[in-house]
Amino acid sequence: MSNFEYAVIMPKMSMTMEEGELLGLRVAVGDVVKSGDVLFDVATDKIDMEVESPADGVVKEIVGQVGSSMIVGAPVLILLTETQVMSFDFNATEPVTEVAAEPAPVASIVETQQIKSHQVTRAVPKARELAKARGIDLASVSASGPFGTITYEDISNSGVTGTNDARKAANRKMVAAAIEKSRSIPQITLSRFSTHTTSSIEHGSAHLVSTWARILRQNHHFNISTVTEQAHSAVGVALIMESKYGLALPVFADPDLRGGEDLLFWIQQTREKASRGKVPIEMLSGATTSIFDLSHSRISSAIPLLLPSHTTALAVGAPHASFGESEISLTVDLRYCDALEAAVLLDHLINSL
Amino acid sequence: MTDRMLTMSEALREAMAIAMEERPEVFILGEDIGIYGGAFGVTGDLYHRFGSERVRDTPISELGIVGAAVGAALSGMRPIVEIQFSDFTAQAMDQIVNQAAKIHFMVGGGLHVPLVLRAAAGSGTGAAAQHSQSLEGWFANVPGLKVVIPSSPYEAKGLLLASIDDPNPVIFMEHKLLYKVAGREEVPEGAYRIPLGVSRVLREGKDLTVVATGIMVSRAMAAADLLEKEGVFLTIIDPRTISPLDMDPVYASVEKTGRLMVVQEAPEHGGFLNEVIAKVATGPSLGSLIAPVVRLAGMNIPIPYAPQLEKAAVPQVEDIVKSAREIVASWR
Repeated sequence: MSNFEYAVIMPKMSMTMEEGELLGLRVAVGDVVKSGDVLFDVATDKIDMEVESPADGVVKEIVGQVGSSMIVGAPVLILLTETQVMSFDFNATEPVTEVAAEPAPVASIVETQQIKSHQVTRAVPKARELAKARGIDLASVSASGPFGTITYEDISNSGVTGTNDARKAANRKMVAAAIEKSRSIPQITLSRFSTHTTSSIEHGSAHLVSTWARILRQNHHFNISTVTEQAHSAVGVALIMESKYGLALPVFADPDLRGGEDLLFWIQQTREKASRGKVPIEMLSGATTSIFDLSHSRISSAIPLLLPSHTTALAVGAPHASFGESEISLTVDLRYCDALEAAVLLDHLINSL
Repeated sequence: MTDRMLTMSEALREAMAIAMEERPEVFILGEDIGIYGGAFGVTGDLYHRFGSERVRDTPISELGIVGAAVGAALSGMRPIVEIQFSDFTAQAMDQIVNQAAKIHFMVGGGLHVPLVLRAAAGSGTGAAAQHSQSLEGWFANVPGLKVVIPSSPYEAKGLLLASIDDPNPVIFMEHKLLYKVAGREEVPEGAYRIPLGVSRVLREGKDLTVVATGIMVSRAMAAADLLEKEGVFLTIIDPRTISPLDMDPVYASVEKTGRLMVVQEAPEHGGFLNEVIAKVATGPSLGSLIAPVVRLAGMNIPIPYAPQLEKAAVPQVEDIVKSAREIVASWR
């Protein structure tokens, strides 16, 4: 009768067990053991257990390290035996001579690794949704819920912000989703050159914002909500500006009713806050139109895009290098005003500037 | 009559009387429903009012009763079967599941089986394991059967009249402990019908959505009264019919509260309300959950005879209070 090598493995003692600690060995290399003799002790978080020899034989090699944690299925020691020990694979017909060739332990190691790689952070669905919208990495949030679960409040009250890249990506997606909605609106964009030049971006923006707001207030049939189909009582101008997380659209409510210096200071302050990624929450809603002011960039023109529920959008390009004139573009929702009216409105704006 | 706070037995009796007055083809059959007035007194004096042709006492054979009713229904009658204890439907399962539920579909819609099977269900009467079960889940798993569980006298009357109108079989599960009690609302005189497949929101609260059936509805309402004093507010939804099941109010409520508890007397394992949880897990309101879903159900054991154990085997008001308090406090 030939000798077989048989690997005695870290056993799986419960459904959830993935690894166990090798507490101690009861045998040494060369020891003769009988079936049922205790070979070693293992511990899990639930139980300590003696592992017995499956057959008579001699201990050929000790693989496991006492005190170390071993994955389920990992060989602890190799037994040299004359008995062909039944492995986990009851279909195996060939004698198992190589440790590595033993199918069951290998399979269970692979399985264990797969389980590990699929482990995800525990969080309630609503917390997950909020984290995604804010671009927050769940792994960076500390969990206060039962079973180490991230609760909704852990995200909503944490003040945790996502990484810049994640926030930018989330922001970009939000803008894209908004623009996606306005794509199907019948619209036209008209452009005209203007001699509108200003000393600083703040002065330019303040002048533009208040003039445009005043014109819309006077022509309130251009300041309509596409949701209610009613004219807005207020004019809210979303001024597109750079922020820490990409473009931001803080809303200046009734800017034409403010004093010039006051509005200038408001815009300066908001631009500074946006650069730190801190647009005040009250400035995130109530827009009825938008302005993309590129007059202090090198971009000569941009086609303004309608935001959801807006009927107008304005863009101002940089002054032309030779003529010194800037291109001002106006996009309107054709369901609420026709191209001719839009042309008159644009003329009116440029004359007012 | 001024006091219309009827018991569920009285409300059911009124519904059957109205149906028999409205339609000559309506009749009732079952064990001891005639002269004796029914095992739980539901049919009462109907035998004396409508006679032995329309309130028919039968031999002790549930299979025979339901078989006869299926045949009568196919021949143009509208039988109402009373089964003394819903546990005995097991005796009649072939007629219910393989005949009544299937015929309409297997003949391409050419025949109808307008049959209502009323059965006394649930524990709490000291009747032990073979007379105390809540088997509604069995029937909800059979396409072709509608399953109705009234939670109060008002619901019982309106739902039973709608069930009798239904052109195909309806299983109507009445909790024994509800028979002798009045509900929280009056039972209107005359005929009114509550459509099958429309859930009812009985109470709205911001903290937790509770979906409960049968007697668990009144227990959940009592729990909500107690919890309100602690500042925990429950929404209580009674599906009324578990098949077909109207989930829209549940989704809408979970979107507001972020928490869901389901309560049933039937054993937890394989219970019908697990379907509610499955629908929330696969439906539009999943992303609104801020807490794991809580299940309160009967233990997975036959109902014990000893009164204390019988009570402990199914959810009580205090169990609902405790679980609701915990889930609202732990998950915010």
